[in-house]
Amino acid sequence: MPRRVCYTSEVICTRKGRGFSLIEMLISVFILSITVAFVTVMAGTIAVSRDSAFVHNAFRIADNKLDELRAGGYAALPASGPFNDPGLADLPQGSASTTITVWNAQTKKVTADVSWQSADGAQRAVSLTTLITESGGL
Amino acid sequence: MSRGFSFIEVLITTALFAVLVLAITQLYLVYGRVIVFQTSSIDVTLGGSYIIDATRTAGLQAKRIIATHAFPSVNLTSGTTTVIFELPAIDVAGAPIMGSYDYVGIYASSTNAYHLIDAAPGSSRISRERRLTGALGALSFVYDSPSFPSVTSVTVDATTSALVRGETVQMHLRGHVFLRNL
Repeated sequence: MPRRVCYTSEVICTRKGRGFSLIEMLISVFILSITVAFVTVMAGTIAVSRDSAFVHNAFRIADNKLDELRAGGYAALPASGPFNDPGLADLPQGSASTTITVWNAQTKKVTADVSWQSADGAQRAVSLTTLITESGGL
Repeated sequence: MSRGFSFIEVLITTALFAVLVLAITQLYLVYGRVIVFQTSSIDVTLGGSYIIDATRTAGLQAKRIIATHAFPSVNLTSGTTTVIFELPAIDVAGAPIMGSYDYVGIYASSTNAYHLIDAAPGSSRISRERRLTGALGALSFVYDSPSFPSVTSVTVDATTSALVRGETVQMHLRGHVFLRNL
């Protein structure tokens, strides 16, 4: 191994004049990466739990709407369009809409969509769908 | 080759070691705080959900809302923080028992919300009392009619919250429950 001249300090260049050995580098990289991974994962869980609360709220909003339409009955089904819900105030830039389409002669397909902006700035949405029949059913 | 460590080497090793120990301790503490925070946010969310779900489950099967009922443990009166549903009793085969009713009460008492079931004799429902949450912030029931027998829907508004190391974890849930067995 060629001898290297040490300009900086005794610590970095040992008496033997060599650099760090492979095992030393491996260990330090290992420790550093474990720490970085740990911190990243931990920071991630906070965002995940906040997002899961939003998802929870959004599903409640959609569920409430479907229940309301179901209770109103087939004849009272409105046209597709946005709807308002007090729960939307808890979602960042929350918006909600229903899509009502004809499924067959006596059935309509109702979809409630709720969307909002998640913590990372991306647009998130949940959707619930049900069928409402003209007669019978709950 | 047989010399020991130089002073600077020992100094730097000690310093590095101290920094590492500090960092790990800090991570451990922060992680503990995160866990406590997450646990209470789950509790808070579940507590709110239990209230909405219990109300919806009872409401869907309820024939009507009644003003008062004497449960074995407490006398309840329907109002803004209490609701009492009257459900047709059902036998083990799922058939309604004529003229026989089960009663389901959901009420708030300070930071607790309770769910009571008073089942009629022969009903397949089981009488019981359970606490839905101990982290209740506010609970309100709003009826679509001032007269209980003519109520057809109830709006539930439940806020659950917990204080974790000076920070408030809160969940605000609403449910619109329609009586579907009128």
